Amino acid sequence: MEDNFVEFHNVTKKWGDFVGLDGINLKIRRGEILTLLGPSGCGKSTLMRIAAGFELPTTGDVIIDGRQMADTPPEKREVNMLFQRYALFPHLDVFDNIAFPLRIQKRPKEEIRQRVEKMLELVQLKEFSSRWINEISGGQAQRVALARALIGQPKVLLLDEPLSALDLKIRHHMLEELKRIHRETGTTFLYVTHDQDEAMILSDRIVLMNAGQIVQMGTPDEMYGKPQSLFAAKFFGETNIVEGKLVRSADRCAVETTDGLITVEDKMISEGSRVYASIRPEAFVISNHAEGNIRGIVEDIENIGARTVCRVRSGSGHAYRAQVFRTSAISTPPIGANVALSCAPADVVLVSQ
Amino acid sequence: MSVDFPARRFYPATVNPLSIRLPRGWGLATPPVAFLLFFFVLPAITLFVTSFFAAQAFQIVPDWNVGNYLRIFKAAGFWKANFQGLTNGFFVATISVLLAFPAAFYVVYRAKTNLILYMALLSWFSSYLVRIFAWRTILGTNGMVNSALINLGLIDAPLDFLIFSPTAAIITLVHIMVPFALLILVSALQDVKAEYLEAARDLGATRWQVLTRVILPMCHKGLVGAFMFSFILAAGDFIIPQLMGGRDGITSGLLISGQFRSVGNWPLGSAMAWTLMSCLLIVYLLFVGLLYVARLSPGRRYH
Repeated sequence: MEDNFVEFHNVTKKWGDFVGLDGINLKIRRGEILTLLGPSGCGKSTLMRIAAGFELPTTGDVIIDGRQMADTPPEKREVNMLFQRYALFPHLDVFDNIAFPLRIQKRPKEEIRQRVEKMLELVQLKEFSSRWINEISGGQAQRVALARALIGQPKVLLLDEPLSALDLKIRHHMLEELKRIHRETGTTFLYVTHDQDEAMILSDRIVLMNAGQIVQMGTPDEMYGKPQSLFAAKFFGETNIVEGKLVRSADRCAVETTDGLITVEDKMISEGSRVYASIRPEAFVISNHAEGNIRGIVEDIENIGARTVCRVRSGSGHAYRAQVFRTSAISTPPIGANVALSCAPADVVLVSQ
Repeated sequence: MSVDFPARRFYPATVNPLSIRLPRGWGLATPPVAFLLFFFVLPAITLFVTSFFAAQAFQIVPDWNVGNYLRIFKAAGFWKANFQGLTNGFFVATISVLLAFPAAFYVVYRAKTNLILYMALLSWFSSYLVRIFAWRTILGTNGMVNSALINLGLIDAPLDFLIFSPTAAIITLVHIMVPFALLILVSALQDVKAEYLEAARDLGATRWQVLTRVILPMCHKGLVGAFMFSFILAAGDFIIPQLMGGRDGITSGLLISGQFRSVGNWPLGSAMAWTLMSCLLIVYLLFVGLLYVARLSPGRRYH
C-alpha cells in the first residue's frame, strides 16, 4: 500500500488570531478509509475543505498522488466530496444529477448513459433514475450523492459527516453500504465525523483531532484500547478515569487512588508521578466478595439492550460505571448492594493529562 | 419525499357529503384572492367587455363589434408606439437584470450585511416624479453629463439623445426598476445555498458553468420574475415616456392613457390595453421559451 497517496504537509489555517489548524502533518494511504474524528470546532472539516480546495491553508500544502495542490482550484482537483446535506441539484432528476460531472466534461452521450447506469447499479437505485430529488428519501438522496461524487472516479472521496442527517436505523445500513461501495470501487476515503461509533465501524485508521491538532492516530483497536491521553480515553466510548499516584513494590506496580490500590502493568513510569487510570466499564468484574480493588454500593442500574451498566458509588464518593452482560449465568446485583469491582491489570490504561 | 399517508377523513361519514369542503389554507388565501378578484380580474374583464363596445359623443354604446380591434390593427401609429413601448420594456428589463444580478450575487454570497440591498432600496424613499426630474437635470442639455463631457473636451455640443428621447426614458426607467429586480433576484438567490455552488465546483464545473448549470436554472423563477416585472412596468409606463421620451418616445401606454384621460374613447383605450397585454403575454412566453431552449429551465430531463 502506498503510504503517502495524500499528504498534508505542515498545514496551518488561521483566521486572524484564531488558529483553526496548527501544523498538521498527515499521510493517507491509497485505498484506505481514514477518519478524521473530533469534537466540533477541532478543525477536521477545515482540513477536509482544504483537501477539496474550498479553503486555502495559511501555510503548508496538500499533495495528492504526488501533485502539489496549492494552485489547483476545486474543479481541477481529482477529489470529490459527499456533502453533509448532499447538495443534490433540485432542478435535475436523479440521472442528471449523477451525470452532472460527465456533462461538465462533455463526455459522449452513450458513455454518459453507460457510466450513470453502472453507478445507479452500484448504489442500487436503478429504478429511481427518473425521480426528482424531492421525490426520494434521505437515504436514497445519500446514495445519489455518493454516485454523483464517485462517477468521475476521484482519487479521493471526501465524506463530510454524511450520515448526520439520517436517522439511526438508516445510519447503520448506510455504514454497511459505504463499506461495500469502498470495497467495490477501491477509492480512498477521507471521512469526517464527530461520532466515534461511526469511526470505529468504518475506518482502517482513525485520526483523533482536538483544537486544531492531531491528538492520536491509529487503528480503531489501538484508539480504543491504547488511548495515549485523557482526551483520547474519554473520547472513545465510555470509560472510568481515576486519578492517582504510581507506586511500586517488590512484586507489583499500582496506582494509589482514594479508593485504594489499582494494580497495573509496569510501564516504566517513574514512581510517585501523578497518572490517570482509564478503565472501561466492560473491564470491571462485579462481585460481592470482599476481594477486589474498589468497594462500593450499587446506586443505579441502566439496561441498554444487551448489556447492563451499574453505577457504583465508592467509599470516597467516586462513581464508577461497570458493565454486566445480560446472560442467564450472570445476575445483576440489586440497587443498594455492596459490591467489589476488580479488573485485570492489562485492562487498566495509564494516560497522562 | 414519497411517503404514502393513509387517506385522511376530515369528517365522519354521517355528515352530508354534498356540503362543500373548503380546501386547506383557504382562510389565508382568501384576502389575496379577493384583492386580485376585485382590483384586477373584475376591472380587466370590464375593460375586455368594453373593448367590444363603441364610443359615441359622451356615451358608450354596447353594440358588440370588433371595430376597435380592426382600427388598432390597421393603425401604423399604434404599432409604432407599441413597438417603442416593447423596446423600452426589452432594454429596461435586460439592463435591469444584468445590473441587478451581480449586485444580488454580491449581497447573497459575498456581503456580510444587507447594507448594499438597503441602500439600493433607499431610492424608494423619494417620489417617482422627483426622481424623473432629477434625471432631467442630470441628462438635460446643460445637465451634469453634458457639461462634464464638454468641460473634459470630449464633445463640442451637448448630446441631444440624452434628453427627450427613448434613450432618456430607458435610462430613467432602469433607475426605477433596478431595485425591484434586485429585490426579486436576492430572494431567489437566497434559495440557492452556497453548498450547491461548492458541490458544482467540486464536481468539475468552472465558475461560468456553475452560473449556467446550477445558479440560473435554480433561480429560474426569480429570473423570470425580475425580467417580466421590469419589462411589464417599463413597457406600460406612460409617465416617463411623456416626461423623458420626447417625440420619438411615444409608447402605446401613453396612447392608452390618452384614450382614457383626454380623448375619452374608453372602448378604444380598452382594446389598446388588451392588445398591449396580449403582446406582453407573448413576450413572457418567448422569454420562458428562450430560457427553456438555453437549458436554463428547471424540471427538464436530459436523458
